[in-house]
Amino acid sequence: MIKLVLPEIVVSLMAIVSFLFVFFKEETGKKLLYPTILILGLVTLTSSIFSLNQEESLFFNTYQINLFSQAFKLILAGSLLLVLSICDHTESLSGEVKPEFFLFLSTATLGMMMLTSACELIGLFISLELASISQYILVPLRRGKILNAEAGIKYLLFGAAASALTLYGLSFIFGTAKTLFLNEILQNITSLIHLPLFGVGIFLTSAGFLFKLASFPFHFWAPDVYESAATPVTTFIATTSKAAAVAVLIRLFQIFSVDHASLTYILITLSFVSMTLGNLAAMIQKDMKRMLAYSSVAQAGYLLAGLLSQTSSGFIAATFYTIAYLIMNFAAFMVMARINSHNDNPTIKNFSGLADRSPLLALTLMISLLSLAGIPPLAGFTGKWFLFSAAMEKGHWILVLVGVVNSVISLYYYLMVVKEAYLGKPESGQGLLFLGIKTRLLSYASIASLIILGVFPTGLVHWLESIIKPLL
Amino acid sequence: MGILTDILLCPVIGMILILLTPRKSEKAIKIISLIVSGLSVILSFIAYNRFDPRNVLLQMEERISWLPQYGINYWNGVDGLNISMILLTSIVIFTGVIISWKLSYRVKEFFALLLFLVIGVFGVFMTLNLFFFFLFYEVAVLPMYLLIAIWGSTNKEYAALKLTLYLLLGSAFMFAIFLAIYSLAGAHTFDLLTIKKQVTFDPAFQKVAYIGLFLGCGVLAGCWPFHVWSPDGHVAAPTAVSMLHAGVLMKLGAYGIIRVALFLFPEAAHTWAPFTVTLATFNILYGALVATQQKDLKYVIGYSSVSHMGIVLLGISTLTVTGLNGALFQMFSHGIMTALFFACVGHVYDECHTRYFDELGGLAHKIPILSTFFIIAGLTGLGLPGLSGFPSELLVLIAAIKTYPVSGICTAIGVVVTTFYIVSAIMKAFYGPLNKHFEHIKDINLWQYFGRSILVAFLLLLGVWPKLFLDIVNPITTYLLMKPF
Repeated sequence: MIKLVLPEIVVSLMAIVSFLFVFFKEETGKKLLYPTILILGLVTLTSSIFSLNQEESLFFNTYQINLFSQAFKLILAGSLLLVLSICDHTESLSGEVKPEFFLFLSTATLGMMMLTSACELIGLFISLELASISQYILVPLRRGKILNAEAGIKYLLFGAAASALTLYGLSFIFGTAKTLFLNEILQNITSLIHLPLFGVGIFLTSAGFLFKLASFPFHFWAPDVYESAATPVTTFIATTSKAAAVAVLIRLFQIFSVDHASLTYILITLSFVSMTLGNLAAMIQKDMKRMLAYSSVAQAGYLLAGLLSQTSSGFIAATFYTIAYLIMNFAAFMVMARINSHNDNPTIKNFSGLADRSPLLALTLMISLLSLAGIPPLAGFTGKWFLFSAAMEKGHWILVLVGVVNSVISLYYYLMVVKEAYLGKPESGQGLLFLGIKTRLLSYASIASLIILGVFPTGLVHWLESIIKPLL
Repeated sequence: MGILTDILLCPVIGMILILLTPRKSEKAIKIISLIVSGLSVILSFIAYNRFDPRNVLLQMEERISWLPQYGINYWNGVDGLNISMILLTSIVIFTGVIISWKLSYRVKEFFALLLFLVIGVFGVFMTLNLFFFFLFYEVAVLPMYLLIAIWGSTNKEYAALKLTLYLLLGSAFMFAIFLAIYSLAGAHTFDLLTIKKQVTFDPAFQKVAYIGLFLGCGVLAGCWPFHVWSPDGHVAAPTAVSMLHAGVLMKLGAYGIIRVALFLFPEAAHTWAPFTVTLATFNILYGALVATQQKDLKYVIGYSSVSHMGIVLLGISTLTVTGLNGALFQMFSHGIMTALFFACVGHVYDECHTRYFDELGGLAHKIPILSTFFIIAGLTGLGLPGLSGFPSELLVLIAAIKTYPVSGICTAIGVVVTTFYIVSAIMKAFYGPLNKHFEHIKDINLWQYFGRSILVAFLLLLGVWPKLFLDIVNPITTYLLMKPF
């Protein structure tokens, strides 16, 4: 039993330990907190690996442990560890809030892990709320910024609205299917699918997760929240939270593996608008975080293009892309956290001359941005190739055409940053950046993994096949 | 693995070695680049020697299953269409490295990126899988951005961005059509030959796919009206990159049209021929006419490239064996010639720090050897018999006059205009009174002489002995156009 929910237990433990640090003196806390949390993060990752091959239904079949859920827990744990690894460098979190910061980071992750296993509607909603509310609290935890309160409220209000929609949708599903269990719904799907109310229910339920994914029309929070939150929090929202959303959307859309034309049309529209709007808005941004926020709206569009195909290749593609997206987004945020030492948000101008100040960071930034733009031989390219080929297989060729043209548009603003980094001159007073061993290792690891996933995707694709195929 | 992978591995290993070499050891970095590019020339010649021109089937095949469930395989092979292109690439990169010997700014990154670009170029010319084709294509295009933006001159950032966005927009169309071939056409594989064997394409799909690919690849080939990135890009790029770019990279586009579009959709090629011939004719005339108006020596060559690539596109569009042979010949000849052109202009710019005709003049007195090289390149460009430009342009002209007489005549006019702008460029830059600021300029040294001589040797060899090239391409072009697959 313990082995089954080991990752959840370790993350809960992390939450408790963080909470206990509130009682420590600030000095002691400062010294011990971060290493402890980092070790716990590592333990979470290890425990996720240990519990990977478990299979069981718990709590009266409301909580399902299978390869799919465990694989996503592994992805979430990995992503959490990455976020934790950049938490020491930021001055944006003041000493007093640090234990709380880690506390809510852990509870948010716990909620997301529960999301991947929940196979019953109420459990799904509770997990979603646990993850969401923790994140609402994380956003304003930033020292000396007035903006963040506003962003926090914006996030909360939008999030609450999305949650309400989800709950409303769940009530429709329950009302039509007369059951709360996803597998029972799946068994009766052929009769349910023709009920309009059921379709509406599924769409409204997706709203909460499309909100997490920052897809149009649930994206309004993204630019402000990305901009206002401390860099580690933004990284968390931009990476871990996306992975959880994809996991749930796969489960939801898998219910719809029977073709449902109107839902597909709605999703095509969302995907289309998300990528176009995200990319066009990103082009005019000066603030790097806002730019990445809009870029994440566009990326949500690409992900939807794979998800809406509702085939195993589409789900595999979406998961592959999510993993790639985690790495590339993390790499970009890591570079940002490293150069942004004054608790300000870096503008694109701040990257000027990064290649002179630190060739390694500049290279990491370039590789991650080019991968986001979908340039071969990087992971982002291979992921997009899979996503679009899944969409094309279903005959959505216009969406694919729009997608690839969008990739070119996105290249424009990504290249602007690369240009600043490589061609700009460092501002006066900005000397060489000395990187610690951890940053170096993370940089090398990100670059290597983006290239390896791009050139040799076979291993990962095989693994994902073994996870996704049994679902369908 | 076979020899093709060995050729591909040369730049890969070179790039890794360069990345591992300390930044300060500039000499070592240059020597590594020279050795790997030299090795690729040797291997290319070995491959060329092994190549049996009478055999129209693929040779030297290498295949590794990559992602079989998506129909993605690493599959290389050569036939008459690409063996010459591989040879061309290795020659141009080798001479490019020699000519970049003087470079002293960010040497490590420059050579690493240059070799990265070459990986892409070799890859495109070898692969027979559409996924890898696209992958290598992008690998070939993207380093251009940094190479031009960092080491370039004259409005370099603008030119680099314009070039990258144009080329990637072209490749976006290519990407969509490759995916459509994979899914909509029901092939479920990216292997070019398997697709050809297994799939009968719907005529309507063929039409859309052919023109999409023609324009998508055509952007890189400098096809009018999508050529606008090309003169700016050529002018802004540093010498070796201009050589590679105009010499080899533009050929990727034309090669893509032949290898993928023409190969898979021959019927659609016939349907669209009048349209593509018109575009190509515009290329030739427009490029040549605009070149006459340029004041910057490098712009003249940039526009001449547009015009000469038009000859390639025209040759392809005639859909005759003669035309296609001429197009392939012109691809090789133009690759070598334009590399020589840019190598010469690069030296002029390094010495005089200007390329404007108003400021140049009389350079032949001070740098006679370089002037001779430039003039040889110029004479090849205007199609002087005895140099490789003559047979290639002649073949295309013959084919064009037979199939599309109006275009043929326009092309002939284009050749006359070419003669005008090349002769006047030579006159303005190398003859007449010498600007007194240039009293001190030096001619090329023996090493630089060696680099350029290699190129001239090929121009002369193919000029006096075109059979050497035509024997390789003729069987495959005949097979491609005559044999219903």
